[in-house]
Amino acid sequence: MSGASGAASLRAEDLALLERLEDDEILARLWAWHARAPGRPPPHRRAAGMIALLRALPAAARGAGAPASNERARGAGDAAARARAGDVGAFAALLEPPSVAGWPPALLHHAALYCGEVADALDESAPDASAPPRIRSLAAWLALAQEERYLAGLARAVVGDAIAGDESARLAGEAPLQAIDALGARAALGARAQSAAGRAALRALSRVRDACAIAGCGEALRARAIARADARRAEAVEAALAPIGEALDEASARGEATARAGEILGRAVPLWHWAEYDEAVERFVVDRIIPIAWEIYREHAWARLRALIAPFEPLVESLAARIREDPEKIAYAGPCAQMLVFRSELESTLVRQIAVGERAIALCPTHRNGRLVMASYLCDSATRALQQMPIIVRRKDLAHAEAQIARAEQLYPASPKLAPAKRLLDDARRRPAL
Amino acid sequence: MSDNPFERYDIDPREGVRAITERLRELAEDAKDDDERRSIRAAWEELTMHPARRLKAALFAHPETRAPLGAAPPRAARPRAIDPGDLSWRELVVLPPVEGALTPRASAPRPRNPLDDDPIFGSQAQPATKETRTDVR
Repeated sequence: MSGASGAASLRAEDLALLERLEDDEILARLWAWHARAPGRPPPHRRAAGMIALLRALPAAARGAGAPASNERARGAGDAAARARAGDVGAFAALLEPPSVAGWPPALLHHAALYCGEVADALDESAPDASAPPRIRSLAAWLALAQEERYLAGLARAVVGDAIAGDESARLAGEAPLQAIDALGARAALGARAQSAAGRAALRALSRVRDACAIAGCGEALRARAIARADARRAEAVEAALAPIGEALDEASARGEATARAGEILGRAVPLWHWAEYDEAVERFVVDRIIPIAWEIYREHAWARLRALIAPFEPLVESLAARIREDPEKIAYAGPCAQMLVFRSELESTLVRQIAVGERAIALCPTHRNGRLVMASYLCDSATRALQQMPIIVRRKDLAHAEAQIARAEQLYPASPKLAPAKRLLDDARRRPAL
Repeated sequence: MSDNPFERYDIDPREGVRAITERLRELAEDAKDDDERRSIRAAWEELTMHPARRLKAALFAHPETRAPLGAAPPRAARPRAIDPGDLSWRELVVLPPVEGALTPRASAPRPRNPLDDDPIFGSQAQPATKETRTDVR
């Protein structure tokens, strides 16, 4: 049938059928392009309604005004024609505007489901690529929850009087949080095996803030979504850490904790990488390693202590950086400082010991052991300098030793190294100075 | 196949419990075996006896937002049935084609002699060929 003359002879019903068939075709092409899984069944054919709604979006709602989105600036009709010809990129870009706040609720509903289905498919074919569609899906759910009326209306239509009106609307409003819960379950499932799909779910949970921004949701909904995602993420990481904790407890019960701690806790390092440097793993390691490190420390087994803590230095550094950036994480300042103190004791030179000790004190100024050890280093440094001074002392060196001893006294007045250092300082003061 | 019963059995969630029941009854009647029938019954129970689960399934099923297709185009008018009582014997006669009447005389086919078709007269009237005579000898 030839274009205009053919279309002119069609009834409205025929045109509707033609558009539906075109939408079916675009949906099939879009799905093949997104899911990258030839064997994966496409979404239900009602999903083609999304295509029609995307075609009908006004330019503003398509994000046409956004910079660097030339694809979106082209008409949806053009994108649809290109999609039917096999070039799906422009049409796929319609699903990825900077904000979905202006979208009709029915389109949001379709997009929430379709993007979720794409992410599910990618979890099997290309797991590392599944987080962006997952974020898009969550964003659409959150935008629907923000809009409220559509979900409440759907709930009324589906359950009628079987559930009281307010309760059905509340249940429907929970849909975005259910999507977050499902993501948490997926992350927990993949946690023990450290699977790529589990990591993708964990990554999506950590990017719920991005989804909130795309959805343009209000502060209350944003806070609920982020809290739920953080909780689910923590549960998934805990699920992954549980076997390590159980193995450590078992080794401890057998009296093998110090011998096997390095090997058992070492499993947390790949887990930390899998979880994309999750803070919970860092806290777990610091919590569990310190008692074992103390046991080895008391044995003065420095080589074993070094072997135990060295693999975890990146985790400790990461936790220290978090604590410096966020004062609310002060609860872990002490344990983290203790890890730095252990490391300072293993350093090969006094200068390096002081440098690491200073970092421990900076991280946790009230850390008793850190202050004690740091006072000791400072006394050692001053003592060494005073002992090496010639008969005629240099005022600059003398002032430096005085300052170190004064700081050591301020940090830990009961340090046993203070008195000998002060005696040497008094001797030096009595000598001629330049 | 989708795990969502609304999608698996192609039911619009907004159509309510009656439509769910009717659709699933039709499917159960057409089911190939008991396993299929059992899974249809399980879906029916899931969707009709637990409103909260029905709502959850509806939330996670694509809504029907496509424009309704409307009615099929009207069929072309069929020829009216012939009443045998209206026919006369003239209407039953097979008439020669009009084309023959319009053909110029020179190229027109020679009228057929009815005796040519007669098995007895036709063979006498026709001379035998040379080869036929040789065969006779």
